[in-house]
Amino acid sequence: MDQLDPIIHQPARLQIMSALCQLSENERVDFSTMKDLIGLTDGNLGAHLATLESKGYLALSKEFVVRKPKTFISVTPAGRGAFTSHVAALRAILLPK
Amino acid sequence: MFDRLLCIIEYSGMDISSDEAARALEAIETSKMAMRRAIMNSRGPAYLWIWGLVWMAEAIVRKMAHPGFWVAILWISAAGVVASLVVGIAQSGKFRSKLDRRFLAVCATLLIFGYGIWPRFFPLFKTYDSAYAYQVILWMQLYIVGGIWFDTFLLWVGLLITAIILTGYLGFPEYFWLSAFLCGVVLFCSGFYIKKCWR
Repeated sequence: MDQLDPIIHQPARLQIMSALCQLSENERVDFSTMKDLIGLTDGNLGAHLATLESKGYLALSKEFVVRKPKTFISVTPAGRGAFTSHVAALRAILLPK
Repeated sequence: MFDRLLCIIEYSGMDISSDEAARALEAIETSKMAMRRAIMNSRGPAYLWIWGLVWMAEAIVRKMAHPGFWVAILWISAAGVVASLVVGIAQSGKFRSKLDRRFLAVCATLLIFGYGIWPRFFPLFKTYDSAYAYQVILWMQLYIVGGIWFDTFLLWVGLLITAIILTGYLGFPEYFWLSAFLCGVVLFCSGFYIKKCWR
């Protein structure tokens, strides 16, 4: 049953999850690219990612790129499922009565 | 109808209006398209453009056939390698995927056999054209394998370029440079397909 998720529904987190769900299962995106896409500050994005990670919707990993540590973000199957359900619930609201 | 009623009861705690739902869906779409554009830009069109241009340049230099042309071709290839490395480093920090080690092992096997074993048994490198055709086909094997493994588009690129280079080498040797040039054009154009349409 599709249902709205109050964690995902927050505007910034909605954009984050929407962007992450475009990645394939094996892909992850770096923190800076996500920051540029969503248009948030480092702290703001970090806080939202922490919230989503605590719900098990995404995974964060630290890797080295040209000797510099970078944070990479990937969506989990649970996150993908929760987002899909949330979108379906939103669309259901707009269905003609 | 019953499911819709359940849905209404479930989300009634969040109190979402139709306008808010519509705005949320719009924001989702905007974010989705922005990510898709970023993904498309990093999927590898730059490499195809680089090597498409390298192949076209090498074909033209070969056509001019001045003494020592092979030195210019080596420099062009070296420039291609450097450009590829720069692009790779620039893009590696944005998106990452888990490596398919079995696929990489298959590619490595084909290259090792192609460069290290087969040439010892067959007199393939008597002329520049034969060596060039051989190397193009060797690398197109990787595209064909990649196409079988990942995406049919790579398979078609590999088969098409193999057909073009073989046609030039076997059928029209005096116009081999043109077939080599066309291979570069195909590679260059496939970069645009990957950027615009792949996924």
